[in-house]
Amino acid sequence: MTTLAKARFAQIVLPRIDEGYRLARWLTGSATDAEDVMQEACIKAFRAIESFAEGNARAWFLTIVRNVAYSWLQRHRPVKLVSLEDLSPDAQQEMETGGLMANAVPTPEDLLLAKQRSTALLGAVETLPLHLRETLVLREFHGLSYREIAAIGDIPIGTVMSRLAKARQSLLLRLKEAER
Amino acid sequence: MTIDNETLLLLNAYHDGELSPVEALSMERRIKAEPELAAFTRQLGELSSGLSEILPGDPASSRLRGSILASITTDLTHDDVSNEPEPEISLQSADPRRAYWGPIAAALAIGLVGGGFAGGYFTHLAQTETRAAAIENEILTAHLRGLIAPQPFDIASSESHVVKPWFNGKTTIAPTTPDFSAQGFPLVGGRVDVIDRKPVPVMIYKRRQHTISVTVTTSSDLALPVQSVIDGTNVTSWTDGNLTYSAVSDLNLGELSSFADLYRKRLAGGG
Repeated sequence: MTTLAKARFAQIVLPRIDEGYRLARWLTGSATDAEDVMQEACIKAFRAIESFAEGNARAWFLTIVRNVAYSWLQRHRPVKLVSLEDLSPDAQQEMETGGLMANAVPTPEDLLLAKQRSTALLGAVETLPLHLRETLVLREFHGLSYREIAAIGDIPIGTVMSRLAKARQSLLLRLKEAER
Repeated sequence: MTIDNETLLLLNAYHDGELSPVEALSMERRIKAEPELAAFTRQLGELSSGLSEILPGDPASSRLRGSILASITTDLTHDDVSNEPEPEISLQSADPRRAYWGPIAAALAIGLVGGGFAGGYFTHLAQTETRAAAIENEILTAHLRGLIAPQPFDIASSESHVVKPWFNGKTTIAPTTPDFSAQGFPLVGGRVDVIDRKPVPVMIYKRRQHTISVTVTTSSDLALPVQSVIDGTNVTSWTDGNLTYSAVSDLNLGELSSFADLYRKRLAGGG
């Protein structure tokens, strides 16, 4: 098992530790937890590496990280897994009646607010429901295609689309609230 | 004054470059005609650039890397992995076995990258590694020099069919020059650098304000490091046939490796 597995591990997993770590960090919400998840995920990846046929190594590894992160959350923080598939009706309505800010002309104040804005955005991402956050991070940070995201989460492409749209709407809404 | 759900999904997919050319074209027409769609598209763009600033964060610590390597090696020493209980997963573990295997794991990793440690071969290896480092350094220097110049390229074009033939007669390497505008890495041009005293093709890509140089060399025997950071600039290298591609940029590692993955996929004939 050893030499080939080690060589493949070095080739496939080691260059992707950073990427995996970022995903784990966003899913668990903490750097320490992300390290635990990564450690477990890498052992899993190592044990499975010989059965991994040629293909999308990145998606393969991220799938492992994602699954380990979910079972880790279930073990340690079951509360986090409560799913909010939909935005609240209030929030939905607010999105639809919004649009005031859309036409606003940027002012010097806006520039001063930029810093606050990114803090607000950070908070907004952290409070997104887990499955929306997962899809958002895989798209916006990892730059994966809808097809790849669908494969990792084992969900239909249509679900990827609606989750992304929901995640973004929710973030835009939170940003507007923060600017008020 | 409202955008219906279907249109929202399509706008998101348009923003992500996931629409087919025909769908994208009709969406572009709609965006031109309907100002609220244009405003929403702009918001999506701003959101993405905001996210790209906050999502990367700190990379994995070297402590984590070390302990991953150590646990892999521990894993190997078990005779029957499947019957063993899950290894204790803790970074603070005081397991002396782990401490003992740690350095060996590191040595193994070096061995894997370098090829082995045997007698006279070692000297050869050391020389090769020094040469690889020198070449990587030249590639980096050329990239930085390109950034100082008014334009980082000698020919400006986003058409891979313009950039690729432009290299004819200027270098002996005919590289693949794909354009990744749809994925957010537009091709902006090409230039010729002199690496290891040979003229080699360089493709220039953009990611927001960041410049990515992709340098192609024939030194595939040299095994440039897969990833390294030199004074804050990231260098990612991979080989395709007898050509070595090195992507150099101040872009964060996550995005640079997704760029490298895109490129590799394209070289392999996919994507």
